[in-house]
Amino acid sequence: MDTQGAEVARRFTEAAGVTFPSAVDRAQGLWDLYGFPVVPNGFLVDEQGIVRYAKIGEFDARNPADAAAIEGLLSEPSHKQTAPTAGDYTRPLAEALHQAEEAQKRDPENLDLRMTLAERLVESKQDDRGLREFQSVLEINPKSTRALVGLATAYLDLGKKDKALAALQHASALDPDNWIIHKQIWAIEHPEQFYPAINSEWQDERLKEEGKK
Amino acid sequence: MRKLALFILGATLMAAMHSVGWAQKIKVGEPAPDFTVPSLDGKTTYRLSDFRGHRVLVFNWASW
Repeated sequence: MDTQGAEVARRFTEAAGVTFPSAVDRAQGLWDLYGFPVVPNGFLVDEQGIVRYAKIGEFDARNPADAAAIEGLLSEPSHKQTAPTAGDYTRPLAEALHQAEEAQKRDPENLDLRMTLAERLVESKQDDRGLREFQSVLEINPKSTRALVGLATAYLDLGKKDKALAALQHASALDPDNWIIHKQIWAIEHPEQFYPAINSEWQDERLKEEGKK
Repeated sequence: MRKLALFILGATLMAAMHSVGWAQKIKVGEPAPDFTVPSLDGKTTYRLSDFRGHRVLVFNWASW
């Protein structure tokens, strides 16, 4: 969940020596789709695509209770009915972009599909087109926080940090309980408090200051 | 080794703050909404439904 993109996340996966597939959701599409206002979260999805476990906030696989919950579910007999997919589970970005374009053409009024297309465009470094798609969503639904965060991703790529922050602040005002957007603004405004290491004391101070307002 | 594919998405090291007024759309026992996300190298994508047949742990985190 990083509006700024993969680079900020990659430092953590490299430092931790992560071996599992890692991806970045810049425009908070998952926050919108799954409906969570915080991270870290853990979801276990079974062989048939059914959610078997969901912990929103404070999920940590190093926490014995969280690990035990997952292990308990994994120890149940497998419901596997379909053969595991071959390969390494990846698809080229160009293919995902093509699919998003086709889906949007089939149902041009569907704003979720349009935002998915816009996200793929930004990921494909077609930021100007992505920007226009997010703007077209906002013309219909000015309160779409997903479109506003998407707009911010395109602006960040285009070097327009002030416009990106304005879009994020607009989104945060529309959805003040969303800590994913809120903290993203902190990280962009004050990168020195987050990179290379998170300054928790600074965050505590900031929360106190905001609480007084 | 169990067939567990692990997905990492974006974790705050800070405790999650309590918030109100949001609707959790994901529910245990219901289908997980499908999504596509780009890999960290920006070259490929992962789609949840491509992992059908496996148990998948989706872990959402962030750098901030």
